[in-house]
Amino acid sequence: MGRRSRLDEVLLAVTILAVLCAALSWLPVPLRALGALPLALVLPGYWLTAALLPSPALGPVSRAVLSVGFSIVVCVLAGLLLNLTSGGVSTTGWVLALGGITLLGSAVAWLRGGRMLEERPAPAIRSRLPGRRESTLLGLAAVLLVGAFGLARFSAAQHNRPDFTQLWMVPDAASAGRVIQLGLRNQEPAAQTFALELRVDGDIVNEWRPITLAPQQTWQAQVVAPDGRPFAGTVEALLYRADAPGQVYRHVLLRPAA
Amino acid sequence: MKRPRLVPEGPAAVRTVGTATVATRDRVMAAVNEPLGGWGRLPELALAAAVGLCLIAAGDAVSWRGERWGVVLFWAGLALLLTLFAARVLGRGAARGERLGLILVLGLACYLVKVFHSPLHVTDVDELSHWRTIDDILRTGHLFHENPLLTVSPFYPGLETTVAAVSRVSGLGIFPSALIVVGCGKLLLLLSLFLFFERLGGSARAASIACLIYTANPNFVFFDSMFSYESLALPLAAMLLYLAALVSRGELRLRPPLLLLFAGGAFAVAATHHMTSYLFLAVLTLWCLVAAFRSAGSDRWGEAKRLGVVTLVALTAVLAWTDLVSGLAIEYLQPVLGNAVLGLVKLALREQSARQLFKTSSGYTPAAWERYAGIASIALVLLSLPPGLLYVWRRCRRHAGVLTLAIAVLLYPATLALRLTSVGAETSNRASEFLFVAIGLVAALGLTGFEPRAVAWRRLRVLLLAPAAAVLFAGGLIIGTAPWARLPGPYLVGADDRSIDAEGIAAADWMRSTLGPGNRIASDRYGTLLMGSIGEQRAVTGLIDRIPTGLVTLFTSTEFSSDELQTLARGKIDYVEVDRRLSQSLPRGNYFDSDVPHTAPLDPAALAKFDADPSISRLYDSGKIAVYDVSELRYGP
Repeated sequence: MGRRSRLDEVLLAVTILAVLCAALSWLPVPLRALGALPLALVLPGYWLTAALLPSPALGPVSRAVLSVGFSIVVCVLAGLLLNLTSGGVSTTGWVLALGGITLLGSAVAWLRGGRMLEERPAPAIRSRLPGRRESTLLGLAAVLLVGAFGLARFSAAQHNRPDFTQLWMVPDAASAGRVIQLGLRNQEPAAQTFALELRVDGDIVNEWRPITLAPQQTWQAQVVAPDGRPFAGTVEALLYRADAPGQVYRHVLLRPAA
Repeated sequence: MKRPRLVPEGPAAVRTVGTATVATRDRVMAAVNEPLGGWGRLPELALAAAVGLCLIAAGDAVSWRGERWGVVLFWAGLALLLTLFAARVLGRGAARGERLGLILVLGLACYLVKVFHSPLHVTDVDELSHWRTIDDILRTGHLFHENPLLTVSPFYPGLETTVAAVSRVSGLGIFPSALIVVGCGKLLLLLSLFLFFERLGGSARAASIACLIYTANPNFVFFDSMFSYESLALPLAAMLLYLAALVSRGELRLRPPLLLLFAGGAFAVAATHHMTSYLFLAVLTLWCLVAAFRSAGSDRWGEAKRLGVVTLVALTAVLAWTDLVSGLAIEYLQPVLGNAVLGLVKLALREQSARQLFKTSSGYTPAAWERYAGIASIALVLLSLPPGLLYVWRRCRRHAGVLTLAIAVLLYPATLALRLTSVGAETSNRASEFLFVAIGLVAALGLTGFEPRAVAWRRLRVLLLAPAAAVLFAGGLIIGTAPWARLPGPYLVGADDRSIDAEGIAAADWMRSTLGPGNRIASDRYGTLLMGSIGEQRAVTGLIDRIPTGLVTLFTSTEFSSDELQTLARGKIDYVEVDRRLSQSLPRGNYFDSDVPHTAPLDPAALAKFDADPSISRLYDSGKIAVYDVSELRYGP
């Protein structure tokens, strides 16, 4: 059994593992992603080109290029075909399509038994493995790269942090103007204490204070018109912060329908 | 029969291949797949690339704090990366494997510059437009939904289906899946180009130099690293060009399985990006014609026939897809390209004045050094072409593939002329990632074809060319990406991804979760993008709803006149989102799509008019952003 067969045996095992990882949706995401990513981006193209282009003329670099390229082609075409099915582009559809094409391709390639990779003497491959110096330098580069990525993510997360509060008031569509929904969400970096006033034509009809919200916490209330009829005047919600009680912080209003 | 050289060193070697038997061709193929060689300086340069990326990440971090010296770190990182890589690639010491590794590391590093810029979510205009398409696909399980942000996007779903496949089988979210797919595309592009250039140029050195020059195209770092359809279509097209090169030389025989693969690939390119598929087809057609009509060559008709077959396959695929989507792309591209040509004609007839280079419509002008670097970059490209063309004329004029790219190179000056028109500048910019395929090889052939014999002179040349390559790259980046979009940072008005911030995203998120998807809402350019993508709303746009000027005056007028009411009615606008920051400064680019030039920031009274009108309700307030219900005003009392 030549090198090609050993490589294909390994890849066949990887293929089966990838199909299993993709199918087992309860697996933890990192594990599933690690196992299943080749099913979308490497294996379909590898087996398809192995089955249809078994020419030994294509070297390992060309094989790698065609594997990734035709895997993407398979994803594009499979997506178009899945769209024609009633299930559409669902997880099951993808696993069946990509798994099916990959396994079919591997079966054809296996049966055709063509030599895909150029035979190379083993020492040539061993000489390409990184030595201690190369491993150290590449490892250091990888560590720096992870650090740089971490820094980029950290600084983006730090400065993308929201620092505002959302206030909203919408009429309840099903109640024909008798009920309104009030909402408040603290998107500030720290906990905040608020006071909320509800006014109808300038008169305070309801008050909520204090409302203390942790970051990312939401407060909601449903207000029903006092007499059971739709709100007739302009309904306003005024929000104040506890540290500046005299200053309107947020302001929303609903005007009556004409 | 003349025995073919087993290690081709230039296109001249290729001439003998056509007469070879299949067995001989395979031997030549094996020779072209020459030993990869040792690691060479790759580990050291990978470490240097990592240090460069650390500097860039630090520059981004500084820039996030609003400090301007982040730019210095950013450019220092890029200069370190580019100069060292260029010196090694331009020299003669590296083996094929090392060159491949260098090109891959360089490509990955360039991609990471974009990833470090937006590591948490998509932020660019094009990315958000495609986000809507994939969001619709994953939400409904089906393709071809209406996308108000980019009407053609759902009809070219190749990128989105690939990302959906990765996301579904791996369980990862859309954003990490998109990062992985576009990253794979980037590596695929450079590997495919390397192999393609190697086949045409006949040496790994010329191929790696051509790839190095290709990375200097203005859109390589940012635009073609985005979650956008061209980022995937271009690598696929490059891979098919490589396959076509193998077919043209008879290295792969035209059998049904190969044609099936090629047809599938061409169909995937056609279903991914309109312009890439058309240009791919144009290159194949030109190549085929050149092969048929070149002055001599023993295998002239054989090569032309083989190329004719693959061109026909590609033509069928592109036409089939264009017909399937009802020629939508033609409708989309026609005004863009037509206006660019018209602008050029008007400029030639002196019916309009030339656009001031490096100046935005709002009057923003970048720093002087940036303008000089941009000009120097273009000058370097223009200077590199004559030696390359001379080399092609002397040594490769019977080589159809090289000759095709040499002809394509002649389009470059024409695209530069487009930059002088206000409507053609974008077209010129977008042409670069395609034209640089030709520029890369022709310039590389010039550089490798005319070298001093003395070792000392060759070293001196590398010492001069390495910084020149860095200038070429930096100038390209400056031309292709606006200054405010190169580094991240705090919110800026009308400034591409710098106008996408947490408050805008939160408003879009609130709209979707509270009022539901599909409401018709009008906003400024960036509010429209966020509402149309993350908010899943039916964002009203000037282009699609045919109210370009009306939509602008809806936000710039200080009162509701009949024109504004008509705009609300014609656009069937139910909600309006107002970002009060628009009145704080002039935009770096535009406030709105189809915007008019502004000499002063928007009048605060124009934005406050929504509060004053007695039939408008203010539903949402987050401080800087408010959402109004204008449906009463639209329907009237």
